[in-house]
Amino acid sequence: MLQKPLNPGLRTFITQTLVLLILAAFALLIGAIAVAIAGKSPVTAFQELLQGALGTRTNIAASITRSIPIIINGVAATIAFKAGLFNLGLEGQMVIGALTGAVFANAFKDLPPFLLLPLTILAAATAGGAWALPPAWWQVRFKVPLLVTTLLLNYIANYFASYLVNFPLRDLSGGAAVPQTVMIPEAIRFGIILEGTRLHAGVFAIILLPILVTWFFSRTSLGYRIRMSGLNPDFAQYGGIHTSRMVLIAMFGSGAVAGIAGVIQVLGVDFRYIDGTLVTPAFAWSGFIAAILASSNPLLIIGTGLFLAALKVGAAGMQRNTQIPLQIADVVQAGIIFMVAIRLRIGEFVKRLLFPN
Amino acid sequence: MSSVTGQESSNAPPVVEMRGIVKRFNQTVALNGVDLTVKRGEVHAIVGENGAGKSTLMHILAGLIHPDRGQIALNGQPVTISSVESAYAHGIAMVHQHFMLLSSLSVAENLTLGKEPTRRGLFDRIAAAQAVINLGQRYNLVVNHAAKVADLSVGDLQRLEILRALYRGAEILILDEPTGVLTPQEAQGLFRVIRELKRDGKTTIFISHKLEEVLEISDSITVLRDGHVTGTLVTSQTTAPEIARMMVGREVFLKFDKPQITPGKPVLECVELCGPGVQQATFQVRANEIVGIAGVAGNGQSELADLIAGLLPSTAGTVKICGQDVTQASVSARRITGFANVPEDRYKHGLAAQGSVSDNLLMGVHDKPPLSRHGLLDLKAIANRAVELIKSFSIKTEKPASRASTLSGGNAQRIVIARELADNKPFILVAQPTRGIDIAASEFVREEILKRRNDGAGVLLISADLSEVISLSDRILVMYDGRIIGELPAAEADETRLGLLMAGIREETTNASKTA
Repeated sequence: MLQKPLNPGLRTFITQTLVLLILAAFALLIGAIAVAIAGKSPVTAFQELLQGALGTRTNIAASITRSIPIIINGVAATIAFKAGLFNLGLEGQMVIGALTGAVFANAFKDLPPFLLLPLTILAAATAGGAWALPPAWWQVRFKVPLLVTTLLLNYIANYFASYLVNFPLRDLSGGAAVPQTVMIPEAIRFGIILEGTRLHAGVFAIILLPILVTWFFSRTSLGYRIRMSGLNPDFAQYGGIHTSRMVLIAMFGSGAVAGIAGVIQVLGVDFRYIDGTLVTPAFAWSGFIAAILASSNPLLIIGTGLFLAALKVGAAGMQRNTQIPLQIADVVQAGIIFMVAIRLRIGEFVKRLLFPN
Repeated sequence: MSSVTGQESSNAPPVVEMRGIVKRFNQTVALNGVDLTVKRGEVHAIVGENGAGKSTLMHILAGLIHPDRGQIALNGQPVTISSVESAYAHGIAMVHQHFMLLSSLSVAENLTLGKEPTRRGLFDRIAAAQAVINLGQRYNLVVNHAAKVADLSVGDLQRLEILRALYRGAEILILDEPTGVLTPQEAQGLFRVIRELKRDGKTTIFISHKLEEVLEISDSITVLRDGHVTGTLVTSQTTAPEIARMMVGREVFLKFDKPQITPGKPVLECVELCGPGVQQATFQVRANEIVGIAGVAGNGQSELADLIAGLLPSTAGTVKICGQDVTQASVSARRITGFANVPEDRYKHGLAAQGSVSDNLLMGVHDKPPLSRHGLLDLKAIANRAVELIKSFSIKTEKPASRASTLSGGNAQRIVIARELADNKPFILVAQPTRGIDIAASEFVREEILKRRNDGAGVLLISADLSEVISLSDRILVMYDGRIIGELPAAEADETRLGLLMAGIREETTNASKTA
């Protein structure tokens, strides 16, 4: 069917994109079945889902706003993936980063904003990165699986943060029932960039960070060393790379970006740290899935992250208008994870179908 | 091409007749219409380069894979060999390069596995032991029936595998590169067994790429190249150069043009170096010199290489590279001192298979100007260097960005060789440089190593291929049980003398043997 053989890069890209579309279709099919079982019309459900996600200017803006923490977490996950590591502790790193950022901004609120804003982000990144270091160290030094320790540290981070905002750091001024910190100075809050929506200036990060990380891994010696450690640690060691150091650096970087995801929510959405607002929407996990779907390509994460965010936002709209529970979106997301698990086989299949020779 | 007339021509149909065998793996054609005729009771060698299709052809005969096209007839009867069991039922058994034995069980238990003698429903140990003894006596294949497989030597393991095949009633034995793991003496033992089998009327098919062996043991030869038969020969009427020409399509010279050069300053000095698996290794490698290390695999060569490379910590002694003490130095510090390393296992240490060819060519120089400045990679310089190396080392790849895993073994090794020989390092450690790659690539790799030696580098060559060690080296050290137990000038080395040393037998009486 194709006259000239396509170049392999393009071939891979076409295959990958098609695989993603097939995955999404399958996942939506699973969702449709779930809706049908619940006794509702899948067609109405998806119409409402689409309407809720992308139907109006406001809805589109809501989807994009929602995608910001997902995409940044996805980028964070990718940094660890490149070193061959599964950082399941993004959530805790994000929480620690967000809380640190909020506390820092309030503690130094007298600094000029042009200094306070970058320093707040830096503090959040450092804290998130630092929270990711112990698991890296334990794996390198004692061979304790990082997969397990990062996951468990989420609980410690969440409950520790929860304790802090319930007691020592709690904002008692308004008599609010919600455990939260004092609001950060107005001068460093992100502005709304689209009138009448909640889309804030943090959106630039979802373009900036993927580009920066892509650049880092292709253009810097450190990026090369981390990638090689991930692809084949024996080879990296043989070539004179300190693979243990690379594990520490990659985990710090991954945690730092997760911390930035957290502080951007503080700066752009909540304007304070509110107990549970980062954990309940499962930003970190959606980000992780976005990264896996994008095969650790930071630029593709922009697409997969937007898709997952739109799915969640659309599901909320669907629930409002049809009484179909928004958990359907979780079913679809679960369907995607399931599909990802069998993706490799689909990839081979698609490739053979498209390019039989 | 003469047809096989090894046995007195009887009108009995050939014991194995394969016709027009075709086998594809995805896009690659492994076998493209191969014919094979093997007469009853002969030793038939299948020779060819790696990737020529030898193993694929034999795996088809042994029921491990199925041909896409073609017929198989045994003793004139068309058959379908659908599985290993059905191959067994037809009297065909294959002894693989990697032994498939249960190491925690005894020899007798392994022998009878799958066809156990029983007494009142229980495993009959005595009968199993008797089976080992009986078969062993009949074919001169003595293995202690009570020993645990884990304690056996490689030669014993191989004998046990052959016994297993015979126990299962094999009439046709396929041996896949059987001498690869053996010392020359052990190989002679194997040949005695093969002759014994022949006397008993068994047919042996022998896969090899070592021409001397083939000439010594076989009656007839089928030569494969790129999935085609390029020759069927009667062994007594052919010569090594003729076979080699059929294998590669041209003459192959195993002797290299090696100019005499007086070695210069030492580039590697090991003094009493000890570490895991290595005891008190003391030796030098000088500029303009190739020092070969011979030894049966597992006698400390790999560990010695890792100690020199800094991949294993030494427990005593010193290592100096270019006069600098690097005993405690990191891998990268050693590399900066002037050390290149072609590792033994190219897929474990030599490459990132999932990385691009360009990434793989960059390892070790990723922090070196002009490729990298202030931590930033100069992609242009890196690409230029990659293109240059791909060209000068004839690496067959679509483009520098292709994944290394898409390259053949020989081309993957060219990546390693190109990277390590590129920057004129004064000391080069080379381990198993031609293992598992075809003749053309091997020849290229050896010539490149020799070129570097002529240009002033000192080379430490660790290889299990004796003819490689002998033909390339200026001096040869032999390792046995973690120690360097002998040294010979290459001119005085031959396979017999090296073989004795490799088996741990010192030539105390010979003046050439100077224990380092």
